[in-house]
Amino acid sequence: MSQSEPKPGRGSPVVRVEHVNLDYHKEKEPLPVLVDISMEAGRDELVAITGPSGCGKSTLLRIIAGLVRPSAGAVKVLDSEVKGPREDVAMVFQNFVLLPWRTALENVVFGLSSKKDLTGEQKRERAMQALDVAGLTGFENVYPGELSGGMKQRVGVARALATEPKVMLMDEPFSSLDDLTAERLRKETHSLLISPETSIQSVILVSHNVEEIIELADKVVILSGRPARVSGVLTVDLPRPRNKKSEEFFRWVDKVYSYLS
Amino acid sequence: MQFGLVALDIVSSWVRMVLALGLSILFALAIGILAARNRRAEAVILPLLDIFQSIPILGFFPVVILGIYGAIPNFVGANIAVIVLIFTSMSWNIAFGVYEAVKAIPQDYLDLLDVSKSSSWERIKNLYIPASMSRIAYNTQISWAVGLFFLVASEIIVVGTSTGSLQIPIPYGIGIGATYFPANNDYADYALLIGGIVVAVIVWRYLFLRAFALWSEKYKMMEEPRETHWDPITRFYSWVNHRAISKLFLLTHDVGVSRFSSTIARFRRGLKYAVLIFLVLFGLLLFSSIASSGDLTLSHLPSAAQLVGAEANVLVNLGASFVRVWYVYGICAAIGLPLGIAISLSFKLYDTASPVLEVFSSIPAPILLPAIVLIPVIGHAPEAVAAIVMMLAIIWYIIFNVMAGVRTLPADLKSLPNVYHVGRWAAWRNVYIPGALTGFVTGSITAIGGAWNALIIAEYFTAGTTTTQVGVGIGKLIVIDTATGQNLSLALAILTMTALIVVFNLTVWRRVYHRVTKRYTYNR
Amino acid sequence: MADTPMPLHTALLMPGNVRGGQVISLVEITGSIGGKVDAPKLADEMGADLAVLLPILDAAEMLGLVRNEKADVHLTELGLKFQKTTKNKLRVIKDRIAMVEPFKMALELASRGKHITASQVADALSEMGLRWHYKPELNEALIKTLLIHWAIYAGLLSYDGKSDKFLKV
Repeated sequence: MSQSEPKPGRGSPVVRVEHVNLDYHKEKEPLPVLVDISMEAGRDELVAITGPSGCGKSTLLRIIAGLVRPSAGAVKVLDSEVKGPREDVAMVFQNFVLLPWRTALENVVFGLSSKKDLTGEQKRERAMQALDVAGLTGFENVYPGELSGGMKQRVGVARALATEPKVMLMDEPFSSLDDLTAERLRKETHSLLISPETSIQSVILVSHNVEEIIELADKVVILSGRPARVSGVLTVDLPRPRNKKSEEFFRWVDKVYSYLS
Repeated sequence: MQFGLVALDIVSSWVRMVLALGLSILFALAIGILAARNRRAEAVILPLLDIFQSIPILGFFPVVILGIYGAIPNFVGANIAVIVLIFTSMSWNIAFGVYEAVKAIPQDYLDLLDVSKSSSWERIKNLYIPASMSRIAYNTQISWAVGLFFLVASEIIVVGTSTGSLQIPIPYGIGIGATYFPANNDYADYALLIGGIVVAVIVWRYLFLRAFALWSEKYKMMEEPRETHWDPITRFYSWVNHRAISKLFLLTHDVGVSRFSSTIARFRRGLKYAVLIFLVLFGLLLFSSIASSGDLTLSHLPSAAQLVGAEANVLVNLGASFVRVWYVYGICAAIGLPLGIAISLSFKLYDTASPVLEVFSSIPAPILLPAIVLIPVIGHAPEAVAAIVMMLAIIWYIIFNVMAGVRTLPADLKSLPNVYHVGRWAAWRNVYIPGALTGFVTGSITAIGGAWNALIIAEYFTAGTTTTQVGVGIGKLIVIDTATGQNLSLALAILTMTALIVVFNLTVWRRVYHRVTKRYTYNR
Repeated sequence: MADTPMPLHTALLMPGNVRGGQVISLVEITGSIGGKVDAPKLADEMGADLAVLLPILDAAEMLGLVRNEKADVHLTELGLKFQKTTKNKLRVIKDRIAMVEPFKMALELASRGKHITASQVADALSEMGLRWHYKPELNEALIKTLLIHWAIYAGLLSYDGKSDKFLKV
C-alpha cells in the first residue's frame, strides 16, 4: 500500500452483500430461501448474523464464502466480486471439519496447500506459529481424535489463521462445545481476531446464541421470516470487556430478541 | 426367439431360490434362537457359523452334487443338490441376523414372559420370531444376491459335470440356458435371457425384497440407528459389510463387535468343538461322495507318500490361485477406488451412474462366461477369461463401498478443499482417499471372499464341447478331482483352502481393518 | 498381607474427567468475584452443575490453586499468580502437576530420555493399585487423555501421535 493512499479507517467496508437472493429449485418451482439480503462488514468489525434455526443464515455465510452461488445479487470482498472460494477468505466450521487422519500440524499445513510460493518448511513454520497463537503449543503431533472439542476448534481456528485471510467466516463455531469450553474460547476470540497482529480485517460470525452475539459482535444482522429477509441491523456499542451480568447487556439481548420474534 | 424357454429358465431358477430362501429362514430361526437363548449351544454354533460363512462354499459343491445325486439319482435329487447349495450360501447370514436380534431383546420383555409363565413355543411365536423379522428381511436382501451367484454357478457346474455316462437331469434354469444357448449358437436367446434376468432381479428387488423389508419395519421393537437418507444400494452394502467385518473379530478378543464381547470367552471354548463338528460334517460329505462312487474298501487308505504328494500338488494349485485372486483384486481396487470416489463426488454423475451400476451388478457374473469366451483373442486366453469373470463378480463390492464411504462424509469436509483452495491431487490425497479408506477396506474384505468363490467357476468352465481352463488353480483342481473321483486330493484341496482363508481373515485382514478404522473413520 | 497396607491414600490422583481449561475457568471466575466464593455460587457462575464442579474443585485444590473450606472456595497465592498469568497458565504450575498421578509416574518412566506409551504408565500405576477405570482398555485411554490434556499443556511431556509415544521435555 503506497504512502499517499489514505489508510482505510475502522468501519470502512470490507465485505459487501448486495441484494442477494437465493432460490432452491425443487421440482421446477423455485423456492425462495433468501430475499434481498444486503449487509456490510467493516474494517476491524465483528459482525454477527443471527436468526431462527433453518432461516438460511449458514447458507448466507456460504454465499459470502463463495461456496454457494446466489440466484441474484452479489457479494464483494474488498471491492472485488466473489465468484468462488477465495484465498483471502477463511472459514471456521461448527463441527471443526478436521482431517482425522492428519495431525494438528498437518491439518494446518493442509490449509496452506494453495500457497505455492511457500516451501514445505515455510508452511510448517507458519502452521506452528498459527498453532501457537491458537494456544496449542506442544500439540503439533496430536491427532484430532485425541483432542477435546475445544482444542479441535482451536486447530480449526489455527488452520484459518495460518492462511492469513482478510476475512474470517465462522459458522456457529462454539455451538458444539460444552458451556465452559465455549465460554473460554469466546473470551479469546475477539481479541485474537480483531488485533493488529493478524491479517484479518473483518470477522463474520453466524450464531443462534443471542448472548454470545452481544458478547462478541460490533454489529448484528438479524434475519427472519420465510423466506428470510433482513429484519434489523444493530450496532452494539457496549464497551469491552463486556459484562454479561450487567443490565445494559440484558437490554441488548432483549433488543435482539424483539427483532427475532 | 424362444420366449417360453427363457421364461421357463428364469421361473425354474426363481423357484429354486425361493425354496432355498424359505429353508434358510427356517434354519436361521432354529439355529439363531437356539444360539441366542442357550449358552452351550451358543458356544458351538457361533464359531461354526463363522467358519461356514468364511469358506468358499462353492468348493464343496461338486462334492455335494455328486453326494446327493448319488443317493437320489433323479430329477428330484439334482434339484435338491442345487437348492442345498443355494441354501448354504444364504443361511449363515440370516442365522446371524436372528441370533443378534434375539440377543438384543431387552431384558424387560424376557422378564414379562417369565412372569406370565409362557411356554417355550409361546415365547418363540410371540417374541423371538417377531423380534427377528426385520433383521431377517434385511439380511434376505444380501442373501438373495449372494444366492443368485451360487444358483448360476451351481447350475453351470451341473451342466459341466454332466459328461459321458453321468447326465444329471436339470432341464431348465438360467445357468442351464446360459450354457445351452451359446453352445447352440443361439445368441439372440442368450441375450434375451440376460436381459430377462436383469429385469427379474430388479423387479424382484422392488416387488418382494423391498416390500418384505418395509413390511418387517413394524416388527422393530426398539429404535435402531437408521440411516434413512441412505439410498438402497448404500444400505444394502452396509449390511454386506456388517457380516464381512464381524467374521474377522468373532474369534478374537481384543477388538470385538461390541455386542458379542461378553460371549467371546465362551466362544473360544466352543471353537474346538465347532472345528470338530465341521470336520465331521466334511467327512460325512466326503464319505457320501465316495459311497456314491461305490468304492468303500479300506484298502484304498492313502499312504504317507501319497498324502505328501497330493498335498504338494494342492499347495502349488492353491499358490497359483492365491496370486490370481490378488492380482484380480488389485485391478479391481485400482479401478474401483478412484471410480467410486469420482462418482460420489458429483451429484450428477451419481444420479446417472447408480442405476447403471445397479443393473450391471445385478447380473450374476458366471452367466456372462459364455459371452466372455466368445470375445476374440481374450476368449482364447483362459487366464483372461478367469480374471474377467472374477472381476465382474467382485468389483461391485469395492465400488459401492467406496461410494458409501464417500457419501457419508459430511458436506463440510467435502467442501474443505474448495474453501482452502487445495489442488485436486492434494484434495484426493488428503481428503477423499483417506475418507474412502474404511469403506474401501471393508469392500476389499468382501471382495476377496467373493473372489475365492468365483475361482471355482472361473478357472474351469465347460460350455457345449469346449472347456476353458487355466493352467493351474485350486478351483480347477477341485472340479477335476470331483469329476475323476480323486477324493484324497479333493479333500486336501478344500481343507487347505479353507484353512488359508480363515487364517488370513483372522490375521492379516483383522489387523488391516483395525488400523484403518482406528485412524480413518470420520467422526468429529 | 493385611499388616502391610499399601500407601494408596498418599497418592494424588487427577480426576479422569477434568481438563486444564476447566481449572483455568474456575480460577478465573473465582478471581473475578473477589477471590472468595461459596461452591454453589461458583457452580452457578460457571454455568455448571455442582456435580460437575466438584471434581474440578478437587483438581484445583490438589494443584494448590484454591483452598476449599466447608464449601468456601478462596484463591491461594499461587492461584492469584496463576490467574494473572496471561499465556500458558499451566506452565506456572508445572511442578505441582508433576506431583500428581498419572503425571508423576509418566515423568519417572520417561526420565533419561525414554519414549513411553500410555499403556506403560497404566501398567505401572495398576501395580500400585491406582486405576481410573476397572476396564484396562478404558483405563489406558483415560490416562492417555490426561497425559495429553495436562502434561503437554504444562510442557512436561511431548507427544507424537504417529508413534503414540510420550517423551520428557
